Amino acid sequence: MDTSPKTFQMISIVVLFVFCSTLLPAPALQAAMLGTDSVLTSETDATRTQLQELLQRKDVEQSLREHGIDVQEARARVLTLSDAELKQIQGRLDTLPAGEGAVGAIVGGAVFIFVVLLITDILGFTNVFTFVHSR
Amino acid sequence: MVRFQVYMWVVLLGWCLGCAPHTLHTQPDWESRPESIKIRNVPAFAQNTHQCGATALASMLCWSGIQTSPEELAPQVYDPKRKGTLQNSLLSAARRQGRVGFQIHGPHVLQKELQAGHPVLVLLNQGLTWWPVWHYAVVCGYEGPNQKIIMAGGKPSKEEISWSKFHRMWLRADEWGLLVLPPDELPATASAPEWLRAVHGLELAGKYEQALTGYAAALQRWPFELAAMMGMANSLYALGRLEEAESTLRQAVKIHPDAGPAFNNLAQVLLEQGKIQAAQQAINTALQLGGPYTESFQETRTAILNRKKSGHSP
Repeated sequence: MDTSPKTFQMISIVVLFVFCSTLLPAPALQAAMLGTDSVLTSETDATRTQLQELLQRKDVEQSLREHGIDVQEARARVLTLSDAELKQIQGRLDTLPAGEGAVGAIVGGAVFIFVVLLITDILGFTNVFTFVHSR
Repeated sequence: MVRFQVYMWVVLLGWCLGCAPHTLHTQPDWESRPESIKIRNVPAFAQNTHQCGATALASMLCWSGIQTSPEELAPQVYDPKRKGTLQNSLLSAARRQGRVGFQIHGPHVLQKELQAGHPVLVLLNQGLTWWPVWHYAVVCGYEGPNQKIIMAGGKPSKEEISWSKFHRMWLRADEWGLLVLPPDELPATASAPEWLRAVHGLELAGKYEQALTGYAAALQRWPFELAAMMGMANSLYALGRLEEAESTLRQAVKIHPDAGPAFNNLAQVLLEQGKIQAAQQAINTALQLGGPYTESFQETRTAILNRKKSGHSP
């Protein structure tokens, strides 16, 4: 078998290409069928190219994976969001609200925060601790 | 000097409290609607650490008729790095269970939806603006006379809280709420585009049967809505029901003769049924209309012409 560097390079490129193409999300409809969102989105959104949308999808998917979510799950989450919805969260996964309940936030905080939240809880401004019963 | 110290303490405390939101006066019209509402069949689940998203969503889904549990949903909503759940994950998870996720804002919509019998999943900031403690909870009613909000699940000991306290926490979370509805149950407050965008989410999740139901429900309320007909045809197409898709699109272009995308999809559906002549006619109309999707129209026309050349054989 011929294994010259050039052949090897060619094979690598082909393998890489095939591998990358499987990573692209499969479109739900055939290319010729326009999605329902084509008559739901505004004119400006309609001018966004498919490539832009695809890149945005990949970007959010990548961010989700960096957050410790596995490949399949990250893809499933991205696929079920519309382009407009993805646009809202792109690049903001670290800052958007993430509901977790009180325990996590307290563990991360210092005694100072604990005391402040305790006082504000008692005053009825916040509602962190179950043992505090304000009005 | 003492006076100055006192002054500084007051300033500091005020700052800590995030200068408690000043919009506390926006509240539902309790006077004219003094009645109480309590929605039944909203189960409460015990909550594990960091999993209030899955817990709240499970309550909502069970109410909507889907048997599930927080444990089952957690992998679909949890973000390990954030140790919590993002709002969009709840939306996407609802769709993956075949339910419509519909986002709402503000106390008036909240009250209207509760009156319509729809529980509302809300995001609360139980902490402060600068030290947020995000939490999801399910509102399943209110007591008009006492101006109290009734919550399901979460912390059982605090099932009822005063409206003003609830609103302070809700306000710090931009008054965001989520409805999780069966596809044939329209929100009380939805406009056509809002509902259709929400139903489109079911298509994205591959839940075409449910999407079909959602679009049909839309057409009952808004019989001439283009996006509802487009969505219906797309769902039928995805399910392989080409003839029904065709008749839906024919009706769409009859009512909306300027809808290029509908003509394009009609052409495609006709092409796949071997009705080449009619397909060509439809795509020509689309091309005459033009618009941002002209490139797609041209692709469809090329496909039709190719088929024609190859001699009508499928």
